[in-house]
Amino acid sequence: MIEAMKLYKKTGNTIQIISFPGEDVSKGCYLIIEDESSGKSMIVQVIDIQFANVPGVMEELLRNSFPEENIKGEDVDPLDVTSHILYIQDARLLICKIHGTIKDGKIISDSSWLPSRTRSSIRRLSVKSLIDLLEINGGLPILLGETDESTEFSINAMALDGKLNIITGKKGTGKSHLSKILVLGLIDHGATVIVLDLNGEYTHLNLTSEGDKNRYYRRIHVFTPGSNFKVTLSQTGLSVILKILTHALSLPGTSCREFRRIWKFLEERRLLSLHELGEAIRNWRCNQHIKDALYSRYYALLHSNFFTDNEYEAITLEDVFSKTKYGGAIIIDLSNSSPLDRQIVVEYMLGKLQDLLSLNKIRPVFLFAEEAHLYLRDTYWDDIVTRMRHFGVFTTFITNQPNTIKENIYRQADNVFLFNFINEHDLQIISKAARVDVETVVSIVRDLPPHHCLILGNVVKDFPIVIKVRPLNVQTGGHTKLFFTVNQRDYQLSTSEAYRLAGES
Amino acid sequence: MLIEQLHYETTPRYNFPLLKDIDLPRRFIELSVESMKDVKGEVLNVHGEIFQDSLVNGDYEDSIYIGDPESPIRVIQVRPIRDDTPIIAIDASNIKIGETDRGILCAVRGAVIWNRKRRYRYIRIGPFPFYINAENRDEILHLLRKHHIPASNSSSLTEIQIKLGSLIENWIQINVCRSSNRSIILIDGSLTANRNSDSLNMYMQMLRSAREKENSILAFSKMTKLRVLGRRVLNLHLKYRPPWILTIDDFQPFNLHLLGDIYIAKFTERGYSFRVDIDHTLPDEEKIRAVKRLLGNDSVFQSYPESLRLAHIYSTFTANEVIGIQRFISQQFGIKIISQHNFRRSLFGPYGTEMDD
Repeated sequence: MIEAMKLYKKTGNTIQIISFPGEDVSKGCYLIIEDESSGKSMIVQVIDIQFANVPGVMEELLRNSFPEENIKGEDVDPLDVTSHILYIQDARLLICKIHGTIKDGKIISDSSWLPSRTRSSIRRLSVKSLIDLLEINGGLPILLGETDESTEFSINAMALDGKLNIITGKKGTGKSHLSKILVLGLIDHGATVIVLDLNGEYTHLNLTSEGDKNRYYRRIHVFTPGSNFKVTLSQTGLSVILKILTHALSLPGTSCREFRRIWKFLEERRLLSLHELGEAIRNWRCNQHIKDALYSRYYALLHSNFFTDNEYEAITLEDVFSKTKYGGAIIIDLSNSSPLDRQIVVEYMLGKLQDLLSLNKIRPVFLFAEEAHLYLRDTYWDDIVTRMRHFGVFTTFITNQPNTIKENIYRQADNVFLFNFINEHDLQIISKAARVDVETVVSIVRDLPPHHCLILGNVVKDFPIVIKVRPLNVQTGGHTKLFFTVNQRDYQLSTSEAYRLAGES
Repeated sequence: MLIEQLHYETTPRYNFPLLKDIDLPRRFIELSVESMKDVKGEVLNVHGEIFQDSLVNGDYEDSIYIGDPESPIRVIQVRPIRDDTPIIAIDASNIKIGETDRGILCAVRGAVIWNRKRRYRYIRIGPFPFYINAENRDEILHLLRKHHIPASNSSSLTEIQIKLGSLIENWIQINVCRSSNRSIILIDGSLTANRNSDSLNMYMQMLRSAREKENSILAFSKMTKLRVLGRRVLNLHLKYRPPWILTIDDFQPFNLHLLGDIYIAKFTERGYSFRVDIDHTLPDEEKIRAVKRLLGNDSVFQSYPESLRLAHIYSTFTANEVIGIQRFISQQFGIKIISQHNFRRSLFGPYGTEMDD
């Protein structure tokens, strides 16, 4: 029994539609309101489904409630009127947001007109049709998953180019999984991706879940600072070292000036090495406090094991990038680094990236930063979204703590991939993303099942779309170690054994 | 086709009595369907219909004054007897769905509540929509009279609507009386009929059927005009602690045939007193015993039996049901529904209430 949906109310950019049982409508889906008389159609998205306020429903429900049990019985209804009554009781009110108007086959952002209540027809607009209308999936497609209509959904990799992206959601909803899909998708199209891998989750992207080599085997390059990722001081350069000292190691300005002198002194004599640096600081004639400060930072650099004097074990970032000439990922495995060492490595990476990009020595890169607040200094956030973007560093932040990303980052984000959040505070923060209205975010994100993602922004041309993220046949490292994964019975004591051990102790 | 699909045997899992006699409903349903065919293509005005209360028939009866000092009055305190006697309650409801230029569209529905060991079950019969207009009113009146529902030729369309409700209610009552054994049967209204009226036969038939099956009928009036010693029954407070019943012996009002003895009953401290009519042919002890068995085997809320309260609730139309019926009529019979222009509102603005009609 299909009944046409009815336009009920319009307030601002919110439309209310009466829908009946049997109509396939779900939160996040799109509807099209076609008004032939005006020659226009309105595209709206369902952001909430409520019960229609049918008079007398309360009485109906109370009638069937009874303190001890529901009264059972039957209806002798030869004319089958009851089915119509139940149909009315199940009527739904769809709360929808207006996203645009189709006029002459083109989408325009006009929500000011009012479709006719009596002459308009309302039907579901499939995501596929919407995608075709928006021409989203052209160019360089990255298959992300499927819509609730089971049609494949891809985004255009070009919509990530030069953009700032955020992937966020509560723990275990699939953020890193989507991030990996994006990384591999970008690689497929020849892009260079740098991943600041906090938990070692990306280190096995080149293997299938069974442990076999996959087609990315030669395109994923894992670098572990202090292990296969070491640099010499001369490769690093003074400007980058100063950034490390200032931002990662908090060296005061006066000490920095003294360090600069020491560096220049060693550089002129071609003696730039860790060993000579230590010696120079020891013999340098300066205030003892400054000397102490320089010494402590020197040992921090030394103990990070990231710097080396051995040119054979050192690598240059240019060499690293040459490996990804035709697309590849540079995974910086920070899982075993201390917080201080992480900051040193990240300062080095970003500093060198900026240098190389400004000198046009490398092509622009896509940077994926997981839980960046754990290693990114405060001033870098603004740098990344403004200056570094111009140099060619296009960042994707991945976090399960949305409050760790500054409000201005949300406002400037070009694309936001939202997974489930329930916490009101988190929902309020993510709703600050300028790309969408608060109601849409809060209402849809709250009910997203795991592995479902609401995509906002440039990649979907500002038409929020819910997708189910596709599975990925790669080995996922970084699994949380669990206590109860081992055969628990091996560790269980009988009561008598427990008493015995207690007695012994 | 529709009528052939009727299946009145109820599911055996609740041990409902079977409503065997389908003679009336068949004609009733035929009339419902036939009357609705007349409405095809009409425009139905529905302004305000969904907020309208059902029109009631059985609750009202002619005024009876009991104030004669000659009439002996006795108060009997009743102690509940819990013996798992089934309690069965019946009620019916009617409602106006809308009106056309030619007539009115209404719906009727009946409900039966079974209470066995305080487990309640229901059967609802209907709703049956009717389109009553000048063309079919004689046919409807004929059906009503055939089934002993008093209806004069001058009955208005609204009165006919009420009588259709009575018809289905009486049909259910008779069928329940025939199909139940040793039960207490509660009906809404009184056991009073005008002398020489059709309803007298109907009541006699119902009581006879009940007696044959050892059932006791108790008729409860909620809106009685009965006055005792000049006071309305509903507000009667005596010094006795409920539950009690008040008997009025040797009382015979003019022009009314009483098929039951009239009692005033108050079952709980908080609540009202109600008029209760009990088949006068039963021995006095049996009448009192029927009240005691009712109290012992049914819940009582505000002095009113729960089964009868539920029967009323289950038969009454709610606003969404009216919308559902309007939708059914619209879909099945292709009528156009419009919201009637409110002349009072347009003339008097916010002062155009219905109160001063």
